[in-house]
Amino acid sequence: MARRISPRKVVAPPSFIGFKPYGVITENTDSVELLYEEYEALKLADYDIMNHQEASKLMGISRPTFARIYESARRKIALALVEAREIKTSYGNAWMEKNWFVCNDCLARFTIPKNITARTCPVCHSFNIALLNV
Amino acid sequence: MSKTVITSSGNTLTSKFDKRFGRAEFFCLLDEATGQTSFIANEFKDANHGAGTKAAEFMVEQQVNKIISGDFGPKAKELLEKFDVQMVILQEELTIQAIVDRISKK
Amino acid sequence: MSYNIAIASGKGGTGKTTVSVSLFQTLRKELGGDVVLVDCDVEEPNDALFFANAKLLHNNEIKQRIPIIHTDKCTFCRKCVEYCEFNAVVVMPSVEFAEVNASLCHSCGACLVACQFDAITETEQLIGQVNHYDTGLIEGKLTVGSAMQTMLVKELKKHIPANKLLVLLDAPPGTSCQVVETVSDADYVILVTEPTPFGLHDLKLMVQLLREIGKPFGVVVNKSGLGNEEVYQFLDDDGIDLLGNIPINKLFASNYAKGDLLNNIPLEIASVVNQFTHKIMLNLGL
Repeated sequence: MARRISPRKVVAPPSFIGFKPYGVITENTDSVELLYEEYEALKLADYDIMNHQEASKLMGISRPTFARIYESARRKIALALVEAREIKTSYGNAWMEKNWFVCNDCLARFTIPKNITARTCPVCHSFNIALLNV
Repeated sequence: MSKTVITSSGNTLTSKFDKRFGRAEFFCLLDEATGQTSFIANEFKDANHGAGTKAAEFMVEQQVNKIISGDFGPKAKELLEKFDVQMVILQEELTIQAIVDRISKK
Repeated sequence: MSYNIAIASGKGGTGKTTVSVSLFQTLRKELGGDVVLVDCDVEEPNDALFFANAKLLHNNEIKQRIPIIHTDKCTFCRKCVEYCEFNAVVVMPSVEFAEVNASLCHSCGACLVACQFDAITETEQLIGQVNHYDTGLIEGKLTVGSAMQTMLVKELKKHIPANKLLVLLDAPPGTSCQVVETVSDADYVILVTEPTPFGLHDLKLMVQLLREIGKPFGVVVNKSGLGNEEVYQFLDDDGIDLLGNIPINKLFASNYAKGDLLNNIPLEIASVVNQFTHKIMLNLGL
């Protein structure tokens, strides 16, 4: 069994659901899925101009793990830019201070404490969950 | 191993789900692994002050992992959050059995 | 021993402040410095707004004693939990957690008595202040975020000078604990109401409350001419003393909104205020 993925702390989720290119001639229908933790890593390193050591501490992960997430974020964004693809955000393995979610299937609202790794609805086990109060 | 509590207005599976947390009549303890249930009366339901805090204290002491209720007050929320107890809010009119069924249907 | 008159209403916005401030001003002409006005609406004290030239003489900080549990000494025996009447102490042995919830704590000190391991000490938390003005006005002001209204009213009352002839207590709206605390040692209560269904509904609650705690009271109907006649019917049926009837007046209302309540008082209102002031003084034998 693979090692469990440790939750990555995200201070604030992205304030948008996705990004869309415009003025493209041949539309590429495949979108790029940007995880919350990737967004956070990119924000900390390139927007807040933190070094990887500080940023990894803030996200509660090791420096190499941070570097991997950051690298993945950059590659996804480069891919989206070059191939004119849409970017869609996705919850991924984030863990948030104010973490209330809603299940889009049974409408249960719930928290995900940091000791729970499953990102599913605690009532109906659906994967179709979204963050509340974004 | 995983202990779930559902706030209940009575002490049977046909009882209605109680949407109050600190002032719920009963707590239904559900073992999600085996599907076994038991009911405990809420001794703080008529407390003048701090029913939610006391109920939250009880949950942490009982090592409950997940609580399903209609809402949680600010003080209870703070304690449950601190001790990593998952809070679930349902707003439907349901029986305890219906909630148990929903959870056990994988 | 001073004589205490509380001004209360049940419903908010009926005219407690109008009546308190007007009564105070009228009585001051007769009694001078022998009358004080105490603004007990600690969440939103506003009596001072009507005395634009009033100078703040001094103020006292009011603090609440909050117990702190030191988990290094605590044995998690839960004795303090049993002692606490207000469920303010949370002790969870399994996770070695012990804390006092300040918003539930009534600072009674029982947990300090309960603890045999010296694990509980007290700290002070600011809940508000008492401001003394040179016009004979004293007000309590709650610290933003504090929920200790009742305790502040209790402390505020301790700051009223004992040598005054007459003390006017402007109560908070509602019928909650802080209102009960305000009227609890009043010798007489003036209830201010308005002739509307809401005014009457809340007046009835207040009447019930005062009858239960056994306080003599009379009613001032403010904004008379508004709404309906039901309030008069009620007073009549219940044999309640109607102290005065302040007519609804746009000029008076707009003066109030400007904070200029005490100047340019319309004649019809000034005479009503004079009337009920003398009625009250007569009742008191002054």
